[in-house]
Amino acid sequence: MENLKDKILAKIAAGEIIKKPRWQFLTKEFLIWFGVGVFFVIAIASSAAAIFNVQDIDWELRPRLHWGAARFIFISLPYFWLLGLVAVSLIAYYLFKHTKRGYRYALPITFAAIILLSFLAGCFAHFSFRGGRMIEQQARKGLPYYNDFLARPREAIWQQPERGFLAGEIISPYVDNKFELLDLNKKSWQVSCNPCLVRPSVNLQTDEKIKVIGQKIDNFNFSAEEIKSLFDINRGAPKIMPPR
Amino acid sequence: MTSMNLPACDQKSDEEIIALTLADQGYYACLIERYEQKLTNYIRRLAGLGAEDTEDLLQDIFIKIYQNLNDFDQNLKFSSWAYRIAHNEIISHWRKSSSRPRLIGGNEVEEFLHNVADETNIHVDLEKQSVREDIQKVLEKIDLKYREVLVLKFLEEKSYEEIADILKKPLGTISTLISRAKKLFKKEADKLNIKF
Repeated sequence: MENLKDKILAKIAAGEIIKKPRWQFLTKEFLIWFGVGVFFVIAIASSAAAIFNVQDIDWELRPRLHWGAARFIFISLPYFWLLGLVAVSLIAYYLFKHTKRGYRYALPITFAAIILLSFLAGCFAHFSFRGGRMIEQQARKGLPYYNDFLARPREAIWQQPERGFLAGEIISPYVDNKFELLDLNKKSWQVSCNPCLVRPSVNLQTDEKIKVIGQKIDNFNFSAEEIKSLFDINRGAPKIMPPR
Repeated sequence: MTSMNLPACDQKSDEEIIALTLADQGYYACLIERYEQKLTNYIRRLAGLGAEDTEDLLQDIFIKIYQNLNDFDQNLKFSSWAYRIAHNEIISHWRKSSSRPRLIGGNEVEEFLHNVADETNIHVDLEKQSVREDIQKVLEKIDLKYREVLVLKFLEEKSYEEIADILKKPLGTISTLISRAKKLFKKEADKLNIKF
């Protein structure tokens, strides 16, 4: 082992061994951090959408459905977004672990920090510029199978006219306290408002998607007691239609 | 640059030598000199290779260190970084050759036991040849992830922080590994009916 040093130095001098340039390491580190950033942003988006969906849960339906709290929560929770949040947070952790000093932080602490920060940022996105609603809307438009397997089963609660729940799209304008609604099963209903409460997010215009609580009169007529948007946070004092 | 015209670097820290090496490759000789014996011991302790294989592996390690000098993080101790590269090369070599590491042998058993005895209630008569063989048997039974922390802690005498940096694991994980490794050492000794 006498000449190990000389052997190595000779190889270096001959150009057989060269130092990798600094930019290669910096690029690698940058790409890892970029990946962490991308997955963290996705985690924020998932948090915002989950917050939107939780806020959109129709808690007042539970007594009308005669369901227990556990069953109602189990059906209403936005699993897709919650599982998505966990999955992307784990990927972000995995990438973070591969940054220069990421290995110093244990999984539970890093994972909890990512979840907490994405939740706080998700709250900000949701409450400041309705980011959660935007994400949910884009998912319904663009994510394959999202509507079929995730959005519709939750909306199906509203396809029970016998129990007083109806949802769908307004296909004729509100005239003489009535409008026509195409329900989620593409069946047409005459919905009357004599009178009913209408949430501020609803304008009763054609193409608007709404949820109606009321009573089924017959196979074609439904009497509305309360009308809410199918796809918006239904907060704020309702107005009475027709106005008195 | 050959050993005949080595730059003077006795008074310089590792980090200073790295900075000099980045500008003048001749200074790399200083790092090789400083770490040749330490890394040779580490290879022997962890991989248990013969002299020729040890030298080949050591050469690969120094080449890897040189190639990656621009990646050295100044916030880290150079020795931790060098041991990390050495560790990865040893594991990689071990996997390629699929030979079982022998861990330690000869007089190093004494060194190991003196150190481990400080933290356990093991008391041994190191004069006995049979005791040395028994210790070897026990260590061979222990999983690699525990053996490597035992080597780093009790033979290389690295701190918990340094071991964390070498193995790229959180400090808490290293504490747990060392604690379990010590318990396993005693448990395996009991299983083999070896009394220390």
